[in-house]
Amino acid sequence: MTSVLEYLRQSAERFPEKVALSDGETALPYKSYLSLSQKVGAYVAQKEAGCRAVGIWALRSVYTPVLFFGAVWGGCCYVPLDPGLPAAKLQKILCDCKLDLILTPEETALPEGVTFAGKVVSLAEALAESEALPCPTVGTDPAQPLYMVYTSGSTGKPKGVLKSHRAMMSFLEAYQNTFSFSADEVIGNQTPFCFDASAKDVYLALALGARLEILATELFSFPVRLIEAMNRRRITMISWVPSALSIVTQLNTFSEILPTTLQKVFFVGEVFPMKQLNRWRKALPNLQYVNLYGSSELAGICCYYQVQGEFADTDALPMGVPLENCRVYLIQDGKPIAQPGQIGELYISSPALADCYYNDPEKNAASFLETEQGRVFRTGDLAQYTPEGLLVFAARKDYQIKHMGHRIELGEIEAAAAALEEVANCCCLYHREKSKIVLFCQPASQTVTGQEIRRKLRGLLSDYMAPNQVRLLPQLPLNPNGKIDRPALQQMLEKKQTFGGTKNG
Amino acid sequence: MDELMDILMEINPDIDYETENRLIDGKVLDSFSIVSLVAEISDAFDIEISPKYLVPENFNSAKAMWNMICKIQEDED
Repeated sequence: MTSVLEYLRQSAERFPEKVALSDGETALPYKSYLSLSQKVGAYVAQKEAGCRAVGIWALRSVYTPVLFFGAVWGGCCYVPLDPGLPAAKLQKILCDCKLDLILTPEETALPEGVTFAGKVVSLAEALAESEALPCPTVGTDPAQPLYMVYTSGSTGKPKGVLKSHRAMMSFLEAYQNTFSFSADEVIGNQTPFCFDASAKDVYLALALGARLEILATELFSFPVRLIEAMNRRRITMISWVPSALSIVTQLNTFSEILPTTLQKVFFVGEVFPMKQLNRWRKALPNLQYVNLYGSSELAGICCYYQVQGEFADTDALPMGVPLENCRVYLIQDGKPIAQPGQIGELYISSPALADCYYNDPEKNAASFLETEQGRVFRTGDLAQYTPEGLLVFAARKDYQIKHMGHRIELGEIEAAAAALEEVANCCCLYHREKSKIVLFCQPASQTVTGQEIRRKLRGLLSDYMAPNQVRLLPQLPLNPNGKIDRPALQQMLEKKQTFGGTKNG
Repeated sequence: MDELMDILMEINPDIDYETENRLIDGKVLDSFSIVSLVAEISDAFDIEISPKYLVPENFNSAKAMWNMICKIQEDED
């Protein structure tokens, strides 16, 4: 196989009439998935030179994956764009990957304030223009870029991670060899298409010839409705961020309704609080629960753990063992460790590794290393082995956090806050237990309020990155080196001490 | 009612809760806000909000939430 498009072609051949994509209102059979994406591909091939990046306005629509593969049929790679991004951040991304074509599922205007010299073309327009064009062919080079997803960058510069066809195919083969998936699977998608975690859903469905059910974001506010919808749409498998799974149990949904068709519950993106996992398992003891560990720098996932046996609410959930296409190393002081209980940084080698951070040689050199074992990615995650040989996550090495399933560099929030004229100095911390991003600020003048700062940041950062709380302090505590004393602030945060400062916003 | 307003302001201070009556339908509050809201309301008013109360109609406005809280308090007595 040389291209992920083979999956689409094969599934459309096997199941032409079967529904491939559904959002509860629109259902698209495999033959239309194939033919529509090919027509978009013909349009793209005519407009763009090969191997270029095409932006896709990633609405929660059945037509978003159609456009992804439209770009790929056109010989290009796709860049999912988050429709909820503030203008300033979108602008940075558009400049970074130098797009000149953005495809949208429906007619859309870019947010006010964004300058874009290229073309924004809706699916309908692309189809209308592709009428007489020849059908594109499948690419022959598996090393060709497939897609690029932007993640949070510590300097405020967007970080695009570029992955190839080969990486995705390597993951899909290993994933299918490990778990018993079938074409009858109905996958309930929760993760937005602009986040890397959603690629697992999209590509697994495609490779199996299974149905992908896109669940509306609003359903997650009212989980009884969510479970009703999942039962009605006969969903058998979900691969969600733990925060989404936690919503269900936190709101006691299972006292009212239980899933009737669900068999597999996978979770990925952050540590699933054991307490909530236990509540799921107690209500639904016969389902398969799997903890997945991955990273945006790798197609799919790297480690998995099939949850077995009893865990106390305070136990740590293992990350388990590497997927068959991955090798992992725990490194401490430059040497591999094998002793259980010793903590080391996790390195990964795999054909599923991303090609690079786009346009960032410095970051590439620091994170992707050429070693005797081949190319290795340095995750920045600290982990250890249990006596049984299972990996367990310990901590992040730097200040990158996982919040509501999103990877966030606290430094990016600080950079945005520090740039405000209201802020003299600031430090952003994460209250893990309460899942809250808290920004400590030394205001520039007495009249500044935390609310004001919070409001301004909302306009600059993605919603999920906006601090949940802004606390004003007359002076940030400093360590002997004159740097902001993060540990002291962290202690203040967890002990709720205010040091004479006022809590605001 | 003041206590409820405080909770709502903590979740998002930019909303005019006196007049806003499409908090859910207008996608003003997201799922994570709802979870915090339910936890904070349960704590503050010492009530248990059973899943059957978790419908958009009960959360579209501060008034609707207040009515729900009163209803649950009556039922518990």
